[in-house]
Amino acid sequence: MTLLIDICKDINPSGARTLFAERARGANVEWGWEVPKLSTLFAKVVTKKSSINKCGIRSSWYGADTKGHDKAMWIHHFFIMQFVHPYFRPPRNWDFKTPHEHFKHCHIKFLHKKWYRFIKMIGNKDIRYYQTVAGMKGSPKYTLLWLGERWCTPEAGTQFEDNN
Amino acid sequence: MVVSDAGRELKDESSEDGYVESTDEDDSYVDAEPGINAEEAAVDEVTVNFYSRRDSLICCNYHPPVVAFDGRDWPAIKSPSGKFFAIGVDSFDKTAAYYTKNNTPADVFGALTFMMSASLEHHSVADNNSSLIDALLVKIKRSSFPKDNRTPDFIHSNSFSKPHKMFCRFVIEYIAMSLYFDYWGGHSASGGPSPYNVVSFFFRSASP
Repeated sequence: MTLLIDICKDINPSGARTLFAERARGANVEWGWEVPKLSTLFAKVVTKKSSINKCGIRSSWYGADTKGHDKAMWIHHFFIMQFVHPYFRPPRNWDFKTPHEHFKHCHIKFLHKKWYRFIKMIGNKDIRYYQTVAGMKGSPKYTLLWLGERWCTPEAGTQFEDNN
Repeated sequence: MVVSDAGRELKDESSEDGYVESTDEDDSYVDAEPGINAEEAAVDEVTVNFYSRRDSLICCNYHPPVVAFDGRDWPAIKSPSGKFFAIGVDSFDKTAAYYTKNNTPADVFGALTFMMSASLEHHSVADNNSSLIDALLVKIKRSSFPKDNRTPDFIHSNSFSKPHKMFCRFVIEYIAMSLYFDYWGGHSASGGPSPYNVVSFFFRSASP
């Protein structure tokens, strides 16, 4: 775990500090946290499975006060979870709608209408591009792609209107 | 290792969203063409040089892509402090799929790179203080502004940074465990399995 944190520190020092460090006495920073028991870790996965099976996936704060929304999984977390546990990696060519054996024949419920702007299943074009870039013949292991574009902080004075 | 890009502001201001009322509505989408040449992508020079670098294409509209390191060799990865991963030291079930065979380092570290900046922010965080680097996450941030009674007037501050921090820590914990046991199984019980014991699975193979 410390090795992963080390690498995260290297990738994004400020982000890693926010997420993985605790303030100790004075200005000291302590990296890491108490390692959970295996049973705790597996219980957390089960909770996450329940959250998508029962409460769905959310991609907006709209309706945040609706019952159950607070337990739904954020869509970007769902995307990341495909690298964490196989349950969260949909089978290739899944259409996001059909109940699939992989998901215990459950529907995955998206709580907001425009969820499809966030993720998509990997397509043939993406696989070909992956093969070109990675220099590999096979397909990538992951099946979900994130559709966001890079965003940079706007210059001063151009804050979006909703902030005013 | 996050790379910067020229200003790519959100163009679509029609970020209004709502609940899904009908699954028939507006469900089609067009595959985005990831037609960029990675060699042309200008990439900021970053700190480490002991990884061989490779683009991770998990964020298919990122130009340039997230840069991570080579996807083929987990055991060769060395941390900045010179440590190697302890991979497959123990095993829950030797017939279970291997984490290292189902996940490449480039993609996992690409995901961690994305994860660290993919936080939840309240609309009151000024954009120039924002740590977000993704237009869709900015869209989520904007949806926290109370508007048309769709977003509640008050969202507790604990709904933002704390869940994300907990999530990121869980991801690190679980990946570390998965590497230690080299384990990629869909375990069905909430209790942790003991090494070498027979465990039950929802499904045996998770490979797509």
